[in-house]
Amino acid sequence: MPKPLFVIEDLHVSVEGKEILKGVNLTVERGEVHALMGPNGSGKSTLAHTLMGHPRFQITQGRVLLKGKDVLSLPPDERARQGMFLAFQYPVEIPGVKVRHFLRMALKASKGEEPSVTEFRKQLFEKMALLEMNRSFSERYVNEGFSGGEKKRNEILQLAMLEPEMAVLDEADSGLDIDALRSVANGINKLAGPHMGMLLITHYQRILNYVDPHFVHVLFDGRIVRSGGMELAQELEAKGYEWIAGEAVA
Amino acid sequence: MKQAAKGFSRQVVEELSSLHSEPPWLRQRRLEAWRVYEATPMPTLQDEDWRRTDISALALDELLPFAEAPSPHADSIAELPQGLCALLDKSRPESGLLIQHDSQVVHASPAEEAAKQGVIFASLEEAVGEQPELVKRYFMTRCLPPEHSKFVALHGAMWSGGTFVYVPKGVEVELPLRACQWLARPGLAVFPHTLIVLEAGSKLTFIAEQCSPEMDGQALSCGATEVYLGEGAQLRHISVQQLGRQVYNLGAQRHLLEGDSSLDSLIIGLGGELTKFFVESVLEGPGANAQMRGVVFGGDDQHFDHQTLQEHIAADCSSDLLFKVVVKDQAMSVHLGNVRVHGDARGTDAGQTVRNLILSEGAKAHPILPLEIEASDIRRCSHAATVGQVDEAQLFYLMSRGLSRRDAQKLIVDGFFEPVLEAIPLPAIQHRLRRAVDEKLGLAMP
Ligand SMILES: Nc1ncnc2c1ncn2[C@@H]1O[C@H](COP(=O)(O)OP(=O)(O)OP(=O)(O)O)[C@@H](O)[C@H]1O
Ligand SMILES: [Mg+2]
Repeated sequence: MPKPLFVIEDLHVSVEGKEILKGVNLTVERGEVHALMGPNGSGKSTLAHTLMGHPRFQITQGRVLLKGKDVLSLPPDERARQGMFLAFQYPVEIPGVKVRHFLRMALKASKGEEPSVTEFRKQLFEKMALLEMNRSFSERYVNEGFSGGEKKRNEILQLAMLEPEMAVLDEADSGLDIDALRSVANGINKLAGPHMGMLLITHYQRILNYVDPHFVHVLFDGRIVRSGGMELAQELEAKGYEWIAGEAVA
Repeated sequence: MKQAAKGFSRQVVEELSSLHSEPPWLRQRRLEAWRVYEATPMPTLQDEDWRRTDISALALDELLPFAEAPSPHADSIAELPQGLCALLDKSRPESGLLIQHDSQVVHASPAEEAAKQGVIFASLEEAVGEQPELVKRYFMTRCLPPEHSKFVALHGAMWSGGTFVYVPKGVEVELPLRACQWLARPGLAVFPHTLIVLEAGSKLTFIAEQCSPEMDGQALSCGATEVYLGEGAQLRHISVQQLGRQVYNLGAQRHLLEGDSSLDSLIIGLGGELTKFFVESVLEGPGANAQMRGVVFGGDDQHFDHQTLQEHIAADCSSDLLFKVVVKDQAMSVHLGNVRVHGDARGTDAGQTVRNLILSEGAKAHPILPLEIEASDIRRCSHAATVGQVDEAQLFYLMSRGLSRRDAQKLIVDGFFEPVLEAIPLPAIQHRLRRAVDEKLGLAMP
């Protein structure tokens, strides 16, 4: 049997001595889209950052396996080269660095070879068209002065260019108006394919009207307390997180 | 006098003046400057302006005050030394190029188009003979008199070579004029002077470069740049300093701005052992505007000290300063940024920002930004300084895209400088500076 693409096993994470994740378990196979929902402060971004190797988070227990190999000891750049990707909830500004230049550097770094200038341009404009982005966007400095929606699109553009095997999207939908949401969701649908596993972190069910996840999980107080299909997302939307809170205590 | 004896003295001043067969008035100015030099105490750490900059290791008595260039005339760029040749981008059309090698101007290609419009671009020594009235009026009088400071006085006594630019009323010079100082002789002190006069309504881009190969032994570059902007004149002024690691660079640059004139100046400091550089804009006429930008990158044990002045004398002027500084290893950067607003300068709008990025634990940056405001009715007077390391959140973001920590840091530093470098009109210089930055980061391919 081939090894699963991505496995999170009993993951415990602390920040400054406070335990945030209290034993998370999750398996994502190629071709699967998993939605992870949860209230504010439940630990969604903590999980996302930990998976990508942010140095602030201390792992006290557990394993994270990518294609069977534990990645927890690897620095973020090495994880990226092994095929991981994180779309940030709050993307960072890199003043003075053009989107175009940044993407070229990122491609070179993660793939190990530099695409030709013409090949790169062709690819870039294709992906930008897919996401309904204006070409002039690639001449702007990374995230500097971007609107919330532009930042999110820029994250998805990077996803499109880098074509990772395992993508974690931390609230790719928050702060988007309905048109932007549709084009971001559209992009996600086109990119998620048989070769990629995706963990779609979201707060609201809204984006799930456009993207069909295979599985829905609910993170509450550092644990996945419920897993199911789309019906779980709908139930959550109808009853609110209060409902889970009640159950978790019970 | 092919080469003077070591050290500076009144006798050297007289010899230099004779060597150039100078008219009595000029000889007199040299001697007066020498008198001021002698009367001014050597700066020490006790002086307010020099508190963090120690020049006691500079052996002035060991320096030669003058040396002829190895070949005093180069008709074409190809005849110049290789290292210098490499700096010049031959394929570009340029309206004028002047080169000073050590103490002598060895090449001056006329700005043909501009010359037809009455623009003068020549060595200062030549201008003394051909435009004595202009030089007499502007040279080290109102802009940078010897009393400015100790080393401006020394400069006034010892200068040789130099650049003279005169743009008549209403003339717009399309292509940049470029003056390059090449200091290649260890043990030498050079004193290049730049005098720029823009008459009312004229327009110019001027690029000044100071460069040297790596040399064995101390050297000194003690330059002075005086600029007069007439009513409504516009100047883009770019100064690039890529001197060798052993060179002390003690210089001053001062702009006098008449009404409605505008200055866009950029200082780039990369080379040298120690730099103390005065950069001053004096807004003398109403509605004048000065933009002063700077890029400084110190590595190893380099020391940079930029002392800037935005002096608002007339009403309704604006000035804006932005310096971006990166230091690594044991390097240190000092920025003493003065804003002075006189009592009559109503409606002043002055801002200054100094941003320092520290790449290593041993590197230091000291921004000191005093304001002196006498006017009561001003629009804005603000100052801001930041000192910080490369942002961890930025590093994580870039590394999450596969960039190594080193490449991520390089990208952040490049981006810090890029908006300033991008605005330089000659692409070849942009390219050279980006390479120099990468080299300093320890990343350049040989
Ligand atoms: N540096 C830190 N120090 C202390 N506590 C932290 C730190 N970072 C995060 N936390 C805490 O960890 C918990 C989880 O935060 P996290 O950002 O992972 O939540 P989230 O589920 O992504 O929330 P949101 O929906 O608001 O994005 C919160 O209680 C938060 O306050
Ligand atoms: Mg979050």
